[in-house]
Amino acid sequence: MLDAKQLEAEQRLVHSSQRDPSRFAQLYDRYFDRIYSFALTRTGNRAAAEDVTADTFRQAFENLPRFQWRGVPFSAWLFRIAANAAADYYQRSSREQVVPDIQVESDASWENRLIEVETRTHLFDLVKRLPNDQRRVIQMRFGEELSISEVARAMGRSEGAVKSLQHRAMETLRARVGDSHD
Amino acid sequence: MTNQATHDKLNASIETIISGRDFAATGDSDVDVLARLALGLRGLPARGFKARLRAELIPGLEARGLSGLLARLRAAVSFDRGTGLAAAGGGCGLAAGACCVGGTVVNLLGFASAAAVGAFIETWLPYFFSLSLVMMTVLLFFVLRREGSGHVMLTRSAFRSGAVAGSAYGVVFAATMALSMAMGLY
Repeated sequence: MLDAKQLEAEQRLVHSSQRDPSRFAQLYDRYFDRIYSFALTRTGNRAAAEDVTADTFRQAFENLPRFQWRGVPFSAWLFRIAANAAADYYQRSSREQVVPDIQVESDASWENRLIEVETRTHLFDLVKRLPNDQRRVIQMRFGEELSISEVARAMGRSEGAVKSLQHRAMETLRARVGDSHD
Repeated sequence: MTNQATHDKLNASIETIISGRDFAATGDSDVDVLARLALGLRGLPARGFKARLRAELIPGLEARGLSGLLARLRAAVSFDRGTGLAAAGGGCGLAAGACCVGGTVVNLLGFASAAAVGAFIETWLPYFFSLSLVMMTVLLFFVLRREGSGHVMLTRSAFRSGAVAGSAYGVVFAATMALSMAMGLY
């Protein structure tokens, strides 16, 4: 939740982005992970989450000149666009019978969904802060969905060494998730 | 249990998670805690997706050299904004009256007589005016193309953009005409 000072800073950033579209990059970097996590939570499918995320930022960028600041965080507007983009995805997928990779709880409350989005965003953020080797393993395993042997080849290490790195990375993440909850 | 056996167990759980199935508890509480955490990593953004999308949305930030410079210039004079539209409309108005302004300057510098400049303006003004109308049409075409689809939005945008650019065009063109008339050239 943004405090009054942060809200004011965000308002300035939004207005400067309306004058100079290249400033939109700052808003994009700030909210990318959350919007992607939201899209993933709603669609349960990586390809669909990428589509919804891309649609959301495309629409936001195109409609930014017409955006009117109403004193609520910019993310509220982005989430509304993302929710509509996800609803469009649902309509399409119900026609095309898309199977989600991740179980989607359609009856989950908004509060639970928000917690799930924030938890996922936080976890993705922690991955970026892992030591280089550990981050590469996690990125290749979960981001690119490579097998252990493919990761071992890409890193020039044995499969045993990669499994060990993977285990250490998960231990590091567990410790950092614990730290952030303390 | 050896370290290698623990790594294998966790890897088997992660393999199950990545393939989209629910993992079954292994009985090793340490491994199961890590596997539950790994569930939250399913769908981690693919490497490069964020950068690709950013480059697609805001190409000027990624491009280098001349193309990057041009993209940044385009962004700086974005026609989405009223000021950009007014400046572009004013530019078109200036193009329409370029022969009036140019003739006045030439006359003031003493390079041509008022009669010669007057004849020049009378001959060339229709051509400059036509050129400026073409420029205005191209300007509005690009503005409307950027506004996206939808008849209502497109019509509204055409009126709004046309009003802003047209007003600036009229003011600047009228000013150039008034200048040459004040100098007794036209």
